[in-house]
This record gives sequence, structure tokens and C-alpha cells, in this order.
Amino acid sequence: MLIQLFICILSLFVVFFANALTVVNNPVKSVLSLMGCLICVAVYWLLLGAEFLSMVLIFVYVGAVMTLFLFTVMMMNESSYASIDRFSFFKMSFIGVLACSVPLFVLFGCYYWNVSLFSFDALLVDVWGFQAGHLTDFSIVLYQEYFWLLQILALILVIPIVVSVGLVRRRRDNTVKTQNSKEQLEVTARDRLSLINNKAEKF
Amino acid sequence: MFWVFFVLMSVFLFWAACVGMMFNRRNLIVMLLCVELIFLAASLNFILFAKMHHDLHGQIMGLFVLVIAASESAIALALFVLMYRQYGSLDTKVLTNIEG
Repeated sequence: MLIQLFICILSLFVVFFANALTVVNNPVKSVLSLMGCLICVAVYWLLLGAEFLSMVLIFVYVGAVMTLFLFTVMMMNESSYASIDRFSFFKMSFIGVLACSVPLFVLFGCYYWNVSLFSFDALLVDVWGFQAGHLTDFSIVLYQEYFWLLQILALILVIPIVVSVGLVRRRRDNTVKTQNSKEQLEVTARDRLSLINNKAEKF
Repeated sequence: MFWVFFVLMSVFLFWAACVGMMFNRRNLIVMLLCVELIFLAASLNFILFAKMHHDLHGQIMGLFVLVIAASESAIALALFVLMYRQYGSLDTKVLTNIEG
């Protein structure tokens, strides 16, 4: 009973955060909503026996990637927020109805076909005690069957580093002023000062 | 039948992300966040079915999805920074004057 209540409350949080991500106007609040949603889903994964992935989701995704999002969004301040339309009440209601329609249909289907939604008995077997074999088995499969794919993934993770640094550090000639040391060394006194014989103008 | 509930949550996450994409078409950052939510729903399904079939390959696919999502978001953020420098906004309307 306790686990059912816990999962139901957690699901309410997921629904709330996912809807907030969609409806909220401020991108910073949207990022924070996504962080909340990720943390709740990490708890789901923990319950489903994927301890390693849930820790990866929290440490790497919430801790690093989402923080990067947050910094980027905060760096691009008011001028980008100003471009977002404020939702009208009608539009927000329409979004709410659309967002809730699919779960309602599924709930209706479960009721119609007599599918029990809240029987987590199968989950209870290994929820409260971590099985030490999980991570070992996971590592064995990962490093034996998917070793080369794992190396390719590591390479794929390097690509964004190179691409991001390359894109952001790209120099634009018309805006950045830099010194040209060759010209500075070859300069002569005549280059520094030139006298122009100009007639005085009459007003 | 506990898995029906998690499938329901996964469907909900996917659907909420799709609705968010439809209604936030002017702000690129929210669109990217919705794509992240879609990735999350897909990973949840992978892990759920791995649990159902007592097969660890699903969890490994979930890890791969996470890696791809992280790479995609890093590159997209770099592009957004460039776009903000160039146009001063992340509004999709300013992208209409892009030329090939």
C-alpha cells in the first residue's frame, strides 16, 4: 500500500512538472520544471531496478546538462523572453485539455478492458533492497556485448565538445578588433604622422 | 500489470512534449526542452520493458539514448548561443530571413 501511494504521488509530480514545462512562459522556469521531471523519472528508474541509470540521470543529466541549460538561458536575458507571447486563458485551457486527454483515454481503456493499473506486486519483489547482482550483470553485458558500441558512444560524446567550442569561438572579422604585430613592427615615422597641405576654408 | 501504469506515464510525457512543441513554436529553448522530454519518455519505455522481460539490453539502450540526448542538447545550445549573438533573440520568427 505504501509503495502504491508513493508511486501515485510521484506520478502527480511528473504530471505537474511536465505540464509546467509546456505552459510556463519563462524559459528559466521551464528548465527548472524539466529538472523536477527528470528527478521524478530517476526515482521511477530506481524502482524499476535501473540503479546505475538513475544515478547517471541525476548526476550527469540534472547536475551537468540541465545546469548548462540553466546558465545558457539565464545568460540570454530579457530580450529573448520578450519574444514569447503570453498565453491567453483560452489557449491555456486548450493545452490543458490536450495534455490530459491521452491519460484519460488510457484510464478509460484500462477500465473498459479490466486492466488493473495500481497493482505493483511484481515491482515489490526487488524495490526496497538493491540486488548487488544488478550492476555486475549490467557491466558484464555492457563491456562484453556492447564494448565497441560503447567506444563509439564515447567518440560521439567528444563531437559536441569540439563542435560547441568551434562554433562559439568562431571569430567574426567585423566585430573583434585584434592587434597585428607584423604591421606594428614595420611601422615608420612617416606612417605615424602625415602632413597635409590644405587651404583654409572661408565661411 | 504494474507496467501499464508506467506505460501510461511514458505516453503522457511524450504527449505533453508534443503539445509543448506545438504551442511553443516561437521559443527555441522550450522546443529543445520538449525534445529532451521525448527522449526521456523513450528511455523510460526502454527501461520498463527491460524490467518486464528481465533483459538488461533495454537498460543499455536507455544509456545510449541518454548519451545521444546529452550530445544533441550540447550542440543545440551552442547553436542557440550563436543565434543569440547574431540576431539578439531566440525567436523563430527571426530565422525566416536565413538564406542558403
